[in-house]
Amino acid sequence: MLILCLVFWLLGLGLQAACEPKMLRFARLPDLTLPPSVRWGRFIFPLLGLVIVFWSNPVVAIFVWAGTFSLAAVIVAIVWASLARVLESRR
Amino acid sequence: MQDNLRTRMGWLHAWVGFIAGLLLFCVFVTGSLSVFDTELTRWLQPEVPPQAPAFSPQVLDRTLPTVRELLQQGEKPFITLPSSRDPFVRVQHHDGYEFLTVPYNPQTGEQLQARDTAGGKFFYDLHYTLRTGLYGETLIAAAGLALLVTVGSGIIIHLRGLISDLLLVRPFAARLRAWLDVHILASVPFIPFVIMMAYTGTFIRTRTLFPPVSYISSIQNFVSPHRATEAEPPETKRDIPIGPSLPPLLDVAEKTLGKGQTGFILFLPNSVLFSRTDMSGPLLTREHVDFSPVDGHFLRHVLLSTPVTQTQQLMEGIHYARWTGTGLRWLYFLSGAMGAIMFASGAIIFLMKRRKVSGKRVMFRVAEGLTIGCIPGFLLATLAFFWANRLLPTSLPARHLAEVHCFFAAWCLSSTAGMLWSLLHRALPGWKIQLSALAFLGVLLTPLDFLTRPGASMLHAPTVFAATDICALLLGLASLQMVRRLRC
Repeated sequence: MLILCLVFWLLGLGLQAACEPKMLRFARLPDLTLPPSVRWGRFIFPLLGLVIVFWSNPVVAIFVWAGTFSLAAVIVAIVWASLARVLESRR
Repeated sequence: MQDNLRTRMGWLHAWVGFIAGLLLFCVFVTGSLSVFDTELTRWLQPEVPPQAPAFSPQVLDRTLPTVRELLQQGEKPFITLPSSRDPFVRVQHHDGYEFLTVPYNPQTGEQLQARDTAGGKFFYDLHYTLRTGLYGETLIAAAGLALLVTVGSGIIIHLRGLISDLLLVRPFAARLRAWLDVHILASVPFIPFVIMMAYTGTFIRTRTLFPPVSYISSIQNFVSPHRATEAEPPETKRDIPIGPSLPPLLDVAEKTLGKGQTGFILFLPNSVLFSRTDMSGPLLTREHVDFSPVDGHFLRHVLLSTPVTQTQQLMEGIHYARWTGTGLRWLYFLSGAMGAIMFASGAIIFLMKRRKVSGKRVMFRVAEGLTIGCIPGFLLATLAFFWANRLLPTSLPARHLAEVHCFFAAWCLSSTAGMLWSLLHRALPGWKIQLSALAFLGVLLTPLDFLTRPGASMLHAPTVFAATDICALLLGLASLQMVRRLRC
């Protein structure tokens, strides 16, 4: 349950990073201009995660959802920084 | 107007954050460790095997001689029943600071010959009292309020870039930029956790800030807390009979509390309390069923269920996180560790920003010396505690105190050294030496564990031992990387 919620947050925040011009500039990536249906994933994936944790165990749902958001944010930030470093070294 | 507000909040955030942050760094580190206090006690008693046989209630009676002995010494002993976190029966008592434990085999009732240790509860006590009782509690409750102010002002400062900078970390940018990014990454995603812990923690200890009696009398008590106790006659040793057998009482208690819901059995001079486990739910009710210690007859069932007590129970349940599973406890640990990184990076940014203008002032040198003592120095002392646990002779009298003394000696030494280096305008070598020592202790904790733990094997299942060793290893490697990047 926790892992699944984490995966949903990773997907949501990954998409958020890919839609954020400042993040794209940092990684020196071109503007990806994702289709709107994909961009909606930024909001849908976290909500799916919330539904799953509530369905699994409502008592811990908010704690797990907030905690996995924090963990996913750190993972996405580190992966994005590594990606930017790799792309920079290739140029 | 808004820039003006941001500037003012920036001042508030920097100064309140730095002054309270050094203390809060220690609070967050010990808080994170306290999430796994039970597991850490198992690491600190390596003679106790990782696995245990199934619990048989009959063994409870075999612990009674130890319980009786402790009662005669004027202690309030209690027996903790096996749980998923600790599969052993333990007789424990509080020595004023820590809970000292004697483990028993849960099937045969045989006492396990484990070393005397302050255990993981050492960090728990340090977390909320700094081992100074009410003084420390008040100081930490005030620091909790300062944390709420710091977080509030930090949100206002960073409001513009809250979403766009959420995932932005530039570790290879200029040093100040990189540290700012680390600070933001360790703060913004963890704001829910930090606010929750600051609020619940301050709420739990609110009596120290807002005492139920007048401030004048509480200050009088604060200044001379032993005045009242001086008049008390010395306690006489009493022979307290523990007449009844415990397994039948456990059966009766479980009819009220529920099967497997008894967490511990507390022995008081006038009653034996069977208390609900803290793992039963988010409300830390401490509901208990009481029996007579003489003949075991039922005395009372206590459950405080008023809205005020339930609020208190919920706050405690959320803050202590004893009811959560392993996964959520790891999230608590990680969030606490990130909170510590937030304070450490904040203090470093505070110093970096002022080094050019005020670097040669005595106050700046003192501030940097304190930072060295509180950040790498405190972590160094924590690892020294683990090393002392494994290296001190097991037959040493009052061994648990010797461990604690090692912790404070290491902290005192590193703080003094850090302050001296800083005052001599040689802060950078001071940082490097402390971080190098931290890396040494962290990286070599795993070999030390393998060399000093009976029956250690590379192929055992992931246990508390592996998790502790890996965390120390990661801390050591991170310190090593920081030493590498620090320029002389």
